Amino acid sequence: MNPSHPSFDDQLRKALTPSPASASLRAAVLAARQPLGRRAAPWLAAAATLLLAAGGVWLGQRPRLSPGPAREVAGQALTNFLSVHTLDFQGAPPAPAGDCGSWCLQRTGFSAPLPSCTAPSEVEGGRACAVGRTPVGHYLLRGGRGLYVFARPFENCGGLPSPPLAVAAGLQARAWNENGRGYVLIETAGRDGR
Amino acid sequence: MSRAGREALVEGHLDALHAFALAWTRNGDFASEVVQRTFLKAFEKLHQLRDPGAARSWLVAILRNEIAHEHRGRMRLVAWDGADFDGLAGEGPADDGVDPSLLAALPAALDQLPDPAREILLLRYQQELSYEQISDLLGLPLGTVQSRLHRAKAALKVLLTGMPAASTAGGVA
Repeated sequence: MNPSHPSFDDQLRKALTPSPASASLRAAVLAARQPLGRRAAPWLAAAATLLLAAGGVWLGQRPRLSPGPAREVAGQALTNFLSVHTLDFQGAPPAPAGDCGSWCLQRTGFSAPLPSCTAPSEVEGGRACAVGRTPVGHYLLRGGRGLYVFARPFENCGGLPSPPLAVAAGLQARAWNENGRGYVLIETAGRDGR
Repeated sequence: MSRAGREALVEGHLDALHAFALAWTRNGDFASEVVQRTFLKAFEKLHQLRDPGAARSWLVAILRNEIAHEHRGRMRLVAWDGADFDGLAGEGPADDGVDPSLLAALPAALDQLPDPAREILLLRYQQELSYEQISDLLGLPLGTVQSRLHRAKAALKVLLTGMPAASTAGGVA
């Protein structure tokens, strides 16, 4: 110990100064939404929705609600999956897993039901996160597959699973729209169907 | 809550909360996850924050709960019975500085401390909480916070000066 050194308190304070968090985390935090159940009164939300819809019609243009083109979003989802595949999915949907929609509602502010091709029993866990700047529900399916559910359908995307739109690290991403939602499925590359 | 209010809360505290979560969980993905959930809860409950000056300790409290909830077993929220401090070495002066070269081993030394000792150091020197805020957060008397912080610092110093890297870095000052 040397009196010529700064005090240990000052040294600790300086050494433990937080590094800046990543820009993607910052964006994800800012994109987080309050669950619908805790928002304003239902009549107020309905009034706001009507007002927005009327405004959209009046302006003669449709608001941009889609998370983006399917290919772009599929690539983002695959990148996200690769960064968290080792994550312990302890925020699993409650039993029965068929209640995934409302589970996701609590986390993201929108209901994220499973697509018709996925049985509730296939779901092993879930989490809410952000892909790009869009909040999504992310389910971990049996066999190490990942299913991302977006609140809005994708642009340039049909109602059936696409051919692989992104491939990386032995995984591929397919995208499709169903019941007003956009879905991205991450699975082992080379599979030709769900 | 307005977007400006959310942005102010994020800008003011995101880095520190992420650093705490990272130091605690040692898992970047998990740290990001719990920080996101912390802010989501904070946005929902902002009306409960009566003193804006206490935002950091309020957020840290939410973060600790999120970590405990999602990562059971790693954060022992009720382990503050003092036993973790009984075995800590170092009753000597904890305030004198050390050779700056030793601080490169700080993360490794922190990891060797018992969780409660590591946490109280992070709360004080990384989160910059006051003794009173730490006392409220941990539910401990002020004097206990002070004595435990002192012992944690002394133990950390012993670890730092005893690290293998210390001898190669020129020894203890």
